[in-house]
Amino acid sequence: MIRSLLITILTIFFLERDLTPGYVPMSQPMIADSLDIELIPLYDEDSVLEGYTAFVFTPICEEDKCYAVEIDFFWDAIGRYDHYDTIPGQPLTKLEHEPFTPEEYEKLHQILSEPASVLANYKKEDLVQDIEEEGVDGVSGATINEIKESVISGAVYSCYTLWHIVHGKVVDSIQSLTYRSLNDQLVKKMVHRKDQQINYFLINIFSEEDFHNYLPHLLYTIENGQGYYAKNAIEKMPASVFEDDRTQDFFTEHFESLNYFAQISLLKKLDPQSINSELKTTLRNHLSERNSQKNELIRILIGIENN
Amino acid sequence: MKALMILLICLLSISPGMSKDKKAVFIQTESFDQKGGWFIDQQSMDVMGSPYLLAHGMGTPVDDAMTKVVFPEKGKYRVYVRTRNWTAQWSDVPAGRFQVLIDGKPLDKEFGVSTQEWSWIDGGTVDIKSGVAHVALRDLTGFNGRCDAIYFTAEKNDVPPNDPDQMDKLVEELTGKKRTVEEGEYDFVIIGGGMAGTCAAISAARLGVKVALIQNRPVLGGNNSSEVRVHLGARINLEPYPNLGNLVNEIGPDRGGNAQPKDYYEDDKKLKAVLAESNISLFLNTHANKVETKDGKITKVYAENIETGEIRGFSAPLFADCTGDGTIGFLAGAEYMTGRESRDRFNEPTAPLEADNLTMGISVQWFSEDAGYPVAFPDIEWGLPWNDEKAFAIKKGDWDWETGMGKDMITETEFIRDYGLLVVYSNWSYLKNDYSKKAEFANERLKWVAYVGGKRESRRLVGDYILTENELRNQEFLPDGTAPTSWTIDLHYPDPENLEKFDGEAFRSIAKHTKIYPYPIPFRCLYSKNVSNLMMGGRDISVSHVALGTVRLMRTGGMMGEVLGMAASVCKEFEITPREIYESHFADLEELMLKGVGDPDLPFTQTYNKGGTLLETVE
Repeated sequence: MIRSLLITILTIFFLERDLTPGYVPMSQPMIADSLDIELIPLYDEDSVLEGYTAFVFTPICEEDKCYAVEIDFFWDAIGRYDHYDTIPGQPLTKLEHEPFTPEEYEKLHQILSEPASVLANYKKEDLVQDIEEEGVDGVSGATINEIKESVISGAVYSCYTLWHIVHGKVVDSIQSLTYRSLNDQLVKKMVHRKDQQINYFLINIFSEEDFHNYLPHLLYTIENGQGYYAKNAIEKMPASVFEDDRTQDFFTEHFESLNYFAQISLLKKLDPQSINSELKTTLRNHLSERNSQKNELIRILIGIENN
Repeated sequence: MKALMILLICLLSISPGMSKDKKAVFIQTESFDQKGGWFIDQQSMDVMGSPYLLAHGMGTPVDDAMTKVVFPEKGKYRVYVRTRNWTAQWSDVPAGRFQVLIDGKPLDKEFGVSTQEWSWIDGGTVDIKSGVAHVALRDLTGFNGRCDAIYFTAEKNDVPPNDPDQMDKLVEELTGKKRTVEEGEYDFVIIGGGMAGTCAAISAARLGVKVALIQNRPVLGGNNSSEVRVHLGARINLEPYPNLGNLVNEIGPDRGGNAQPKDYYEDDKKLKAVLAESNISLFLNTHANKVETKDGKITKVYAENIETGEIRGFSAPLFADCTGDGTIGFLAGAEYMTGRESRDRFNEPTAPLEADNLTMGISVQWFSEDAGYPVAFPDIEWGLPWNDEKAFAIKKGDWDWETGMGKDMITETEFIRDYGLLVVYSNWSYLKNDYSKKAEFANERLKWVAYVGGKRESRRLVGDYILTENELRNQEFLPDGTAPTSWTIDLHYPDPENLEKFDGEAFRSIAKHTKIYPYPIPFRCLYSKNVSNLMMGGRDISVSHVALGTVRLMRTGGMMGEVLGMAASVCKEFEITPREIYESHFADLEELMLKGVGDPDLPFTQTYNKGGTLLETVE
């Protein structure tokens, strides 16, 4: 009993992360479709969605011995794995009921934290190769080389199964749930994270209406975007959004700071019939001696002939 | 009588290196009628003067090379053989020994046993009984004996010169005329038939440009050919120009892997794609080594056939240096960089504090196969001292068998490649004969060892822009971005343990990677700053050493080639230089890049080796 408590304390100590357990479920837990996993939304002090947790109970068989794993998982609002907690009195064990060491608890967290793990590429039956030993019938298998670094010895199937749960269909379910929960407060909070993955999540999931409703937040992501984000966001935005004055004012102010490829995408999206005079002036100021696609597009927009 | 006179005149005029006055004959071994098992090695010809024959037998003596030689008259000739002892600097015992046979009888001496440097070795005298003799090279060891040329002279005190230019003059003198020069005029001449050059040629050809593609090997592909066996790497079809790479996809090998069996590299696939374009004139086995310029432009490039020595002149308004070594740029006086720049040169975090020459090395890859029965391998006496601790008990040497880091990648190529061979053979001989667990290797037969070294880094030609680590790390896109580089910044260093075990001459390497997001290479990195009609593609573009770490991957090089071909069509259409494309016609190039030149509907199945790059969106 004391040992379980100690282990629980140790795990909590090792695994203190962003999502603190000081939450109050605001509504009934939502059942994720097509999974036996019940996702419970978590909220911050201002009652804005923070992430999700789920209790997972699953049998796992290491070689011939099966046992139950009980574990709590935590994800952020877009389904990225955050951390796990063991259930008090239910430590994680390896083969022969050997308990995880503190290092192994930490290693499991590292394995689960890797979205591009090699575990994604293998089927359960391929994890271990049968070794035939002389004189003895098919004994213990050997973990294949390619995944050795990504698993805990004696807990190969646990690592595999848990990784696949954490990064599996539940992610789609989380993303659907989050989408259904979107409101101004939540979107504002999400974009202020300045997290490119969150930004891409939003622009990939937004409907045309969403782009209009959340326009200021969307423009905020463009202002703070890296690499191709601005270009991709502009390409995702429906044409109607560009007729909105707020959009045009934004690009009047920020055209200069967009990279070349974002500028091109913007110029392709703008309609010469509907751009306002401030934006036109800004674009005119960006004409250069060098002829490029950008130049040609600007000339079309502001009504100069291209030769 | 008249017939005899005509015959004599004919014989006189077609014989190689023979003159009416001087009783001497100069024979280039690369033009032997039959090469037997000897290979033509041209990789160091700009340094030591000429291609030579190499007995690359991996321990088994190769079949004789032979040729028929016509002499000015019968009589006694002294024979000089141009060769070297390639293991001289490491051992007293020569590895590559061979004989020279005249009409089936070997000269008294063995060759390949004397000097460390290429020299003419006096082979004694021989009696030429009729006007014609058969000369043969007989390999004695199968360990890379090499012979460049043979000189027969009936004159006294007639030692041939060892200097390449003087040797050329001698040959001219003997034949009584300069080597014949064929001339050709093209819209666009590309020197170098690796991925970059091959893609540039096909791309330009498809856009209506008349192209000459010059390649100094018998196959296309460069490091991706079956001669070097490095697989393609990095990604294609990336924003902002997702149709760049469609051509790479057409000609790339289906299967990945380094140091795999020959057919993995599908040399013929590239060849067929080039031959399918009627706008391309392809010149294999042709090495470009002379350039004429006027007013800061190249007017003509001269290249010689590595077998026959025949010279061709290539004239064009536009040239592309896809040689890897930046050879054409160098000859034309283009600005170039070598080595590792210091940190304060470009403020790159990964650059060393002080500038130095620790560039990436050359790979001599190899592998063995299970013969199913015991196979012997010579217990060599000339290998490096080896033991169980030093041995690599493996059956394949991959990219990380890398030599020459810190040496001059232009002038010391032969040494670097030779050291690569030395360590492969030293290790293998040890595994087969002395290793404590040699039974495990009893049935292994050495199947392939490269003799063309796979180079990674030498000269980089300077453009109107030099791409550095900073733009890559900060995603500072430039308006003239073209083909995106997508590999990590991948730089190689001598393996510290190996460096120590082998007294500073490492042959194993480690790689250090910096992940980046794909970054479109500026067009200004693809043309020369001071030679106005020269573009470049591949590993010789205008980048810092650190940035080379990412752009050197061959799918990326292939996409650069696609862009060069497009640029050539714009240059042709408007009669402008590449710089003028950047200045006033960039929209035309952008349009072509958006469209691409390859088949957009061909599925991408060559999913190997795309790299651990960061990607903004999940694919």
